[in-house]
Amino acid sequence: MDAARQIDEHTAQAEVKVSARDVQVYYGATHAIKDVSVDIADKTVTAFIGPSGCGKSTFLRCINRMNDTIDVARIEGDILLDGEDIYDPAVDPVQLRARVGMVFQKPNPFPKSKKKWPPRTTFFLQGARVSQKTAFFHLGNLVEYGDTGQIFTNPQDPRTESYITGRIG
Amino acid sequence: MPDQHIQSAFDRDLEDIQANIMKMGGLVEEAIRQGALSLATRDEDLAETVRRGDEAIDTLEDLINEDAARVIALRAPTAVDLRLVLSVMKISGNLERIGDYAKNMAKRTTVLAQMRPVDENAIALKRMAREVELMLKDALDAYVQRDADFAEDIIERDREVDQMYNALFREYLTFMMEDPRNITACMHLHFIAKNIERMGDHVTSIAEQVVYLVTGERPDENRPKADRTSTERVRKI
Repeated sequence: MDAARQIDEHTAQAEVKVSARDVQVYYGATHAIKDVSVDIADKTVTAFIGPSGCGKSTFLRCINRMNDTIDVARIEGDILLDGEDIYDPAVDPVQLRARVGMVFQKPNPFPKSKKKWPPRTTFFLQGARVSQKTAFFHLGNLVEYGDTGQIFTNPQDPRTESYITGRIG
Repeated sequence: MPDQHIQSAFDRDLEDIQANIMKMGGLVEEAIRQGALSLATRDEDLAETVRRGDEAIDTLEDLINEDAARVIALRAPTAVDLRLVLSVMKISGNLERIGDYAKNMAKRTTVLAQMRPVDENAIALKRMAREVELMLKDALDAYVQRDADFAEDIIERDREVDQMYNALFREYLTFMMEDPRNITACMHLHFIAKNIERMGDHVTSIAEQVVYLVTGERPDENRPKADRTSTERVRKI
C-alpha cells in the first residue's frame, strides 16, 4: 500500500505536463472535438474513456500532431507540452513525436469470430481503474475529468454515470 | 440516465437483492410490532413466535450478503450501482440488528410475564416501538423511492425516540427507588427501552444509506443525539 500511497501523493502535487486549452478539431465539416480544456499531470496515469467515436483517440492524436497527417483535419486552440506550444511553426513534429510516444490499440479481439461482437461489459473499463486520473469523453466533449476513484464511485455528470455503469455503450 | 443496463442480467441481480431487502424489512417491521404487542399484552405465545421468527431474518441477511458479493465479483459495479451494493450490505446489517433487538424484547417479555406487573400495559414502550416501526417503514419507502429529503426527515425523527427513552429511563429509576422489589422487572423494562432506542439508531443508519445512495455524499455528521442518560446521575431523595 505504501507504494500506492506514494504514487497518489505524487499525483496530488504533480506538475502539469500537457495543457490543452479550448481545443477544437474538425474533420472537414464534422466538429469532432468540442472545446476541450484539460491539464494532464506529469508522471501520472490518466485514462481517457468514452463510447466508440467520442473523440478520445482524436484528442490523443492532437498531442503529438498525428492529425497533421490528415488533410481534412483542422485544429484550433492551444496544446502546451512543458509550457511550450506544440503547434508553434518552429516545432518539428518528428522531434515532438519522439517525446510524445503512442502505442496503438490492437484491433480484432476475437479474430476467429465473424459473428456479432459480444455485448460490451463494464470489464472493458478495467484498464481505466488502474489509472490515477480519468477523463470521460462523450460526443466530442470532455464531460468529466478527475480522480479515478471519484469518477468510478460518485461521478457528477449523468452521462458519465450512464457510461461507466454500463447503461450506454 | 437510462434505467437499464446493457446487460439485463445485471438489472435482474440488483432487483433480486433489493426484493430481499424489502422482504427482510417487512419481517423486521412485523417483529417490532409483535414484540411490543406481546410485551403489552403479556402474551408468551406471541413472544415465542417473535423469537422463532428471527432465524428467517438472519437467513435473509446471509443471502443478501452472498448476492452482493456475487455482484461485486461478476459485475464490477461502479457509481450508483456500487453505492447500491454497498448500501444493501449495510442496510441488511442494520435490519439484522433491529431483528435481534426485537427478539431480545420477546425474550424479556417471557421473563416479565412471570412477574408482578410494574408498568401496567407498558403504554410508553408500545408508543416508542410504534414510532420506531413507522420510522423503519418510512426509511424503506425512502429507499425504494430514492428520496434523500424524506430520508433526512427520518434522521431528524430519531431525536423524538431518544427523548422518549430519556423519559422512560427516569420513570424506571423512580419505580426502582420507590420499591426495590421492582428492580428486576424495571431492569428488564429498561433494557427493552434501551433496545428500542438502539433500533431507532439503526433506522437512522438506514436513512443515512439512502442519502448516500442517492447523493453520493454522507449526511451531515452532527446527528441528533438526545440520549443524555449516559451522563445522568441518581439524586438522593
